[in-house]
Parts: sequence; structure tokens; C-alpha cells
Amino acid sequence: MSETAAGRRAPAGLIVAGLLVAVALTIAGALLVRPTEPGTRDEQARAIAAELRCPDCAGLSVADSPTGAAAEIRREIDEQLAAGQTAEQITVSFVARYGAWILLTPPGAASWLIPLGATAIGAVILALWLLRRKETFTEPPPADTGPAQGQPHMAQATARRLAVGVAVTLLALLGIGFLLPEPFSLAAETVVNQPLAEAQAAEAERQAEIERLLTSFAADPTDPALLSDLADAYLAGPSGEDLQRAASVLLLLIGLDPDDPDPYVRLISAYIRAADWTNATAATDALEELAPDSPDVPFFRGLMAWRGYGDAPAAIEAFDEFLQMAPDDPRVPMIRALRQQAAAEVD
Amino acid sequence: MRAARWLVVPLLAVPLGWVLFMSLGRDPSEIPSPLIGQPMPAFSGPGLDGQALSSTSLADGPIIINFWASWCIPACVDEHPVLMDAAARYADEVQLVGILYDDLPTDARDFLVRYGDGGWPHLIDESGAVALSFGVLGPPETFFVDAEGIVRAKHYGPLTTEDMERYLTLVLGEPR
Repeated sequence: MSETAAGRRAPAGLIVAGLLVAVALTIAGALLVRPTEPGTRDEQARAIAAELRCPDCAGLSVADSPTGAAAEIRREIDEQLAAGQTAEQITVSFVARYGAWILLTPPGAASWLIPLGATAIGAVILALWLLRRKETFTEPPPADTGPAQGQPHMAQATARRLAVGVAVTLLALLGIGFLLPEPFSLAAETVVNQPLAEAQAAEAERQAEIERLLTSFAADPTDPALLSDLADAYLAGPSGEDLQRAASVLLLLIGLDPDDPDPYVRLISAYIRAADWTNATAATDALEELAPDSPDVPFFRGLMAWRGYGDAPAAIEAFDEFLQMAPDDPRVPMIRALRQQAAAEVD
Repeated sequence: MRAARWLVVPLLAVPLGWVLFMSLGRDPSEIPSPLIGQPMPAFSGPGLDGQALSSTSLADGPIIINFWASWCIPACVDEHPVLMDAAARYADEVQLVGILYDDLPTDARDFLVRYGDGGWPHLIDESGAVALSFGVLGPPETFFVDAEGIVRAKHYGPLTTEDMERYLTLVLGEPR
């Protein structure tokens, strides 16, 4: 009898062990298949595009989709890479517009834990069912029933108790996960992924910095270093409103020292980022008067001609002038790429 | 043992019921967008009437940004009278701006001739960059921006008069 009991205890232990191995293999597999960091810019761009969902087609990544929206996203990825943004910053910039929906790999623990939990529960139910079947098949004939029969039932009960325990624990963990407060909750739809949370923390810090600078500004409105810091804080912001505020601060700074070309350069960048081509042109005219030999002048003229007015020949002319004036400038690769795009347009 | 088995039912049912309950009363067309509560993205470009159009040159006050296309049938046709009505009734309080989504200017002009031109400006977003900055999935999609320039709501699909009233209350304040 005790032999049968041992025989019955073994499958329960085996099933639980098998279950644990399966869970461990799933987790290890998920960790191992993460792609390695790609090398060239084209590879990087493709890797980023492959992780983004195409907005206007079903079930394709931006890398694989032929639609206009996907092409525009690929163009923007390339532009942001050229401007020195990291893959993470670029992905975050799309999440900030579309939400975590745009990520093909879902962020947060919920999307991974739920199928994992469901599989574990399914395995436990299967184990219970198998144990019960075995019991029916190996049930001794009724004539044999006696006091000794209690023992296999005990083994059976232990195995079942164990399985139910595992199932209840998993379910309880899932339940608790759903009831946790917002950023940790398994039901949270948005802010669970690391890069986005970091970006939001950085934004909160920036707002605090602006608050602090504005207080100092109220005490001394003519401190150029303070104004410069304030402009930087606004320029680091993501919205058109931030850029307009940066522009106002830079105009104040120009008022304090009209002969310094540096605030002009930052002012023009702000206008270009805000797609305010009229003001960008006016500010570039002012910069040209102040510093006619600055390579920034053809740099901005080229950017405005290409992005703002779509005037490819004028853009090429300005880009060439910039490349000739500043062949060692860090912006050369970006301008080369833009010149190539403009040249393709002319052909 | 039996008690433990009965425990499984509420443990399964409670989280599921909670998720379903939280979704009750939500309008499926009112899409959660990360832009809500954020400043409206800036935009500029050629207008359908030949005049340049820029977010910085719009009058102060609430703005309705409507992404649409002449090929978006029937949704854009269905909501067009709602937009026309709002543009006429709230002409002094809110500025409507149309943004073409993946559409040809000639087709868009034909649409306006056929279904009525409410007189609000339309931006030709040829590359799709503006739609991208708003996180648009497909037309029609409408954003409601308050007088401070903050995005208050995003509606996916055709707008009904009731939707319009609800969103306008959000950006204008009290209903009238």
C-alpha cells in the first residue's frame, strides 16, 4: 500500500516541478530573444521602426508598412537620429503622441503576467484533472476496501491541496496586482514603461526649474545668465507653447545685449522648431546683419527653405554654402543628409 | 478543501468584474490620448484657400481641430453638418480648423462644394507631419483645445450633435 502511495506522490511532485521549469523557460526565453543593439544609422532607424505600430494599417510595423503615415514616421525617425537623439528618446516622442498603443511590444508587467498566470492556472487545473483520472482508474476493487485505503487518499489530498494552493496564490497575486495604485497596477493602461516614466520625471524637474528661475527673474529681470538659463529650460520643452515662451525670453536677452549673436541663433532654432517660418526668416535676417560670416546663416536659411517653404533649389544652395563655410561643423552629416533629400526632390 | 475550491470563483470573478465595471460609462469614441492636458502641438503650412495657415496666427480662444479627408465616407460626410452647425452657432466663441489627412486639395475642394463650405480654414498636411504630431490614427478625428491652448478631448469617429455639445461645454465652460 505504501508503495502505491509513493507512486502517487511522485506524479504530483513531477507536475509541479514541470510547471516551474515551464514558467522559468518562458521567462528565460522572453529575456533571451531581446534583439541586440544595431550598428549603422539605417539599422538603428529600422530597429526603431520595427518596434512601432503603423497608425493607419492593421497589424504591421512602421518598418513594414507602405502607407504615407508610416513613411512620415520613418522620415522623422531618420531626422531625429541625425539630430543625435537616442533610440529611446525617439520612441518616447512617439509614445507621447500616440500613447503606449504605438509600441508593438507592450510595456509594463500586465501584458506579460496575465498570459503567464493563465498558463500556470491552466496547468494546475490540468494536473488536478489528471490526478483525479488516475484515481478512478487505479481505484482498488470494492472488496479490497479497508482501513488501509486511507493512505493513498491522504497522498492524493496532499497533491490536490498543493495544486489548489498554487492556483489560489497565483490568483490572489493577480487580484492584488489589479488593485494596486495607478503606476503599479496591472490594469494601468499608460505609464508603466520605464522610458516614458523617466521622461515624465524629467519634465516635472524642468517645470520645477522654470518655477525657480521665474522667481529669481521677478527679483532681477536684467540678469542675462538667468534669462539664458530660463530660455534653455523652455527650449528643452516639447510643446509649441514652450518654444514661444523661449522666444519671448530670448527677445528680452537680445534687448539686453543687441550685439551678441548667440541669442539670435537660439531664437531662430526655436522658431524653426515651432514651424514659425515668418519669424525665423526675420530673425535670420537680423543675424546676417550682425554676423555676416556665420555659418549659422546658411544653415538656417537651408533648413527654412527645405522644411518651411519646400524650395529644394534654394535649400541646396544654402546647404552648399554652409558645407563650404564650416566643413568641420558637427552638423555636417545632418546637412549632407538633408541636401541629399533635397537633391532627390529636384531630380 | 471544498471551501478553497469555492474561493477560486470569487477570485476569478472579482478582478474580471472590476475591469468590466471600470469600463462602464466610458464613451468608446472618446479615446485616451497622451495629448490630453498637454499644450496643442504647433502646426503651419499651406491652406486650402491658398493662404498660409499657422497655429500661432489663430485668434485667441478655444479651437476645434478636425482631421478629415474627402475619401473618408460616410464618417466625414456624416459629421460635416455637425461641424457646419457648430461653426455657425459658435462663430464668436470657437475657431474651427480642418486638417486634410492624406488627401488631394482638389478632392477636398470638391467635397466642400458638394457638402457645404462653413468658411473655416483647412490646412494641407501633405507629408502627414501634422497628423503625426497629433497622434492621429485615421480620419475623422477631432481635438478640442481650450482658450489656454491645452488639449481637453480627442474624439475618434464621426461627431454627433450631442458629442459636440459635450466637448464644447468642456472647452467653453457652461452650456448655453
